[in-house]
Amino acid sequence: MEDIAKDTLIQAKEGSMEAFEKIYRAASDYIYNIALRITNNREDAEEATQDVFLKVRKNLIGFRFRSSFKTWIYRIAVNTAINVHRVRVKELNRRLRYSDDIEQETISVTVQETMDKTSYEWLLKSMLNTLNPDQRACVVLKDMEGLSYKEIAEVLETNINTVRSRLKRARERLLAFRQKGVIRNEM
Amino acid sequence: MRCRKVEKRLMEYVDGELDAASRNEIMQHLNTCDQCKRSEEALREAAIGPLNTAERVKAPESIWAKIKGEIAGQTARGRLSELIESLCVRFRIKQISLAVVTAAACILIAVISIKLHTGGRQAINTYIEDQANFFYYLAGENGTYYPNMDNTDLGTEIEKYLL
Repeated sequence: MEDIAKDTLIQAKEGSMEAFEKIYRAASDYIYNIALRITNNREDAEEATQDVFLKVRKNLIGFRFRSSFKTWIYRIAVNTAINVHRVRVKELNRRLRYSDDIEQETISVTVQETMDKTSYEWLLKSMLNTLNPDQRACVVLKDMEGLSYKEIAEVLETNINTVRSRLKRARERLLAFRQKGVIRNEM
Repeated sequence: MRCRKVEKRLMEYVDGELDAASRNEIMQHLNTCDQCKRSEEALREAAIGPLNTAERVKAPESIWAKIKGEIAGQTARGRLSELIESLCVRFRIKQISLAVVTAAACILIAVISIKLHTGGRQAINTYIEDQANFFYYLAGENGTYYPNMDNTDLGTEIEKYLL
């Protein structure tokens, strides 16, 4: 994500809608993609992205430029996406208690899978499904956004060893998943 | 450098997190060890590659429309709150007092409406009872009505004129 000019941030802090829109245009694609890969669901990603920017607008007044704006907004994005994902999982578990809903849920997943199956997206979605939200956040920030371990630790407000360990476990799972796929293809 | 040591640091090597000296040591080992080289390739291509090369999806424009709508709604709600706050300041009452007074006024209005409503019905019931007693009186004590046909006096002057 490109850096946003400090003047724009200050104007947005003062309530300028034009400046806020500039921030949105500069950051929305990055935030949406982070949300998409963490929630692994387009509807949730849209909801999370909307929430992120509303939080940015509300809390920008308290932003003191102590950390970089990018770190700050990424932090909001990751936390919001993880929360949205958790709500979805809870709701899904609640609905899956009823047998009729199991059938409906299965159908909707199948349709989505069919649509994505022909594309690279399906592979990505399946890979990310093997990870928990914290692991997804780490691999997305590292492999998609190109952040360093130190930057990821700042975003997640954790220590660098935690980041290392989450990435290591995530990559082991992804490797195991891909190897299973290779064996299936060979069979 | 031994394979076990390289295996421990391979992820950091691929992620570019090692200092120059460690990086060179591992690179030299990878040039000579096929097994470690294959591990490095698997990590890059299978685990990291798909995300590295993933297409960045454009955020739908509908998101911005929803954000603008929500902000407009918040602004309207904010103006109402400001108005209430300024009234409280002007009349030197706390917001909670205003809420209590408003609630009390609503309850009073509701009680008065209920009273009027039930009071009206009672009046109607009384009227009907009075009329029933009058007819009973006209009918006589046994309840049968005997009109006095000899008495044709209608009472008032206007009744005499019209009838």
